[in-house]
Amino acid sequence: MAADPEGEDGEWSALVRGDPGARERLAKQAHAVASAELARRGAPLAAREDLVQEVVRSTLAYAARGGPAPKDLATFLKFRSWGVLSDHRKRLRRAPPMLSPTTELPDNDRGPERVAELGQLRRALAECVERLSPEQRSAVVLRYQRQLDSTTIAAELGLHRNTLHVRVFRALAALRECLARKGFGVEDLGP
Amino acid sequence: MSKLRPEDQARCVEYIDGELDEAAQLEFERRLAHEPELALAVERLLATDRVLREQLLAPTAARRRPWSLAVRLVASIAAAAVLFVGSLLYFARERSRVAFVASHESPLEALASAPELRLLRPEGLSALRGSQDPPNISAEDFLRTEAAAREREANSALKSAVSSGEAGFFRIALELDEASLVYVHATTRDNKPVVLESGPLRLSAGRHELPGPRFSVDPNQPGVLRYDRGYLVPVGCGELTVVLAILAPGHELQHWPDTSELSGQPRELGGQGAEVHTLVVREPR
Repeated sequence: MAADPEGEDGEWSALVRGDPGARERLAKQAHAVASAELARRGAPLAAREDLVQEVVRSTLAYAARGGPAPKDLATFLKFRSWGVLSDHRKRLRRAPPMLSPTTELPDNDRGPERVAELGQLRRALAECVERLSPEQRSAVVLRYQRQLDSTTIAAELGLHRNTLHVRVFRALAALRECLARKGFGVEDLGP
Repeated sequence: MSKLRPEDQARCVEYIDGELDEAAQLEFERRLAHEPELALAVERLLATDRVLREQLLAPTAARRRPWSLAVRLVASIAAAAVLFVGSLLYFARERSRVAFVASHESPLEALASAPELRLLRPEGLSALRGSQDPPNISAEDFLRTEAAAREREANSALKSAVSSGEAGFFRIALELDEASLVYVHATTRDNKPVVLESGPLRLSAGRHELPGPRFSVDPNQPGVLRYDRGYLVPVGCGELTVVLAILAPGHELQHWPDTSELSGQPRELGGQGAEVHTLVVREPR
């Protein structure tokens, strides 16, 4: 979505001043961006409207608290949607392991071409992981294969959490580049 | 490689992991709306993170052909025969013992699996257990009791040389007569590698449980117990073949055979001076 910084800043400032019309317009835009973004990110259908409402609520609350106007409101709302979805997934992970109406189910509907494509991707990924430095590989294995959280991984590797996060960032960047060289653009493999 | 400052790189990972509180999250999102390079880095990070979570955790299930059961049966018998002969050949110089031990997804299931742990509600584990019941044992006493229960379980598994089983998560009981270098390698039924350890493990002589203790005190949160589920059997893999190659100190594997040659691997690794153990873990149906 194209941003109109001047107009959005105006709405944002008007909202901070208490203009009810501005609140309604901002809410409408937040709803539209969040609906599209959460659908794109594969948010579970049953929970999607609640998540959209949470994006709207937190955005309006942030503006009302006097939070500085984002330069590009559409980008802000897009990432706000991710933040809300990420929190939702975190809550699900903490919940007891049972199916609920909002649990995302795996997609088992895979044709032979998709199966073959995934096989190639996994082989490429395994080769790329092998090429990481031992330090980066350890972080990736503990994070994705063992599914440990950052606190546990940092303790296991004897690292400060920030150091671990930098290592993870660089490992993922290296994997992305390696996969791209093998013909797999991670952005094109979207949900 | 990204030109972002290290503190921004760390922040990006905290953000995609949902580790920021709402205020910090909103502030970071405002920055993303101002800094296209930062936004691009987060987009790329999210995409790569998603691919890794999907692909490293969920190998494709092998499509079954009508004759695959018979072929697998014959292959299993042949493999068993090879392993039997192999074990006879290596028996004389065996310096390690290995066994499969089933593990559990949640700490609650782990507690329920041992009679002496079933009724324990250790301090510091309530958040994980999701229970409102008050604790009835200190974390230290619980760890002692739990270690004794696991010791007995590992003894039994090692004594019976349990080399296969069905589990979603598993551990490996290992007894070494001398300090050793231990390589752990796994492949799915269709020969896809599964990374269990990032490199060889340098272990002292004695008893070990891989990948590590089930319960331990969180070093960053004193008084809080954390639970490690063990190795994951990837969803849809059907069966995982785990090969452990154990070398005496001062030796290293010259090479690990290609995964497509897995069936010939034990002999190959033995040729490199390694003691080899194979475990088979079946995915629960």
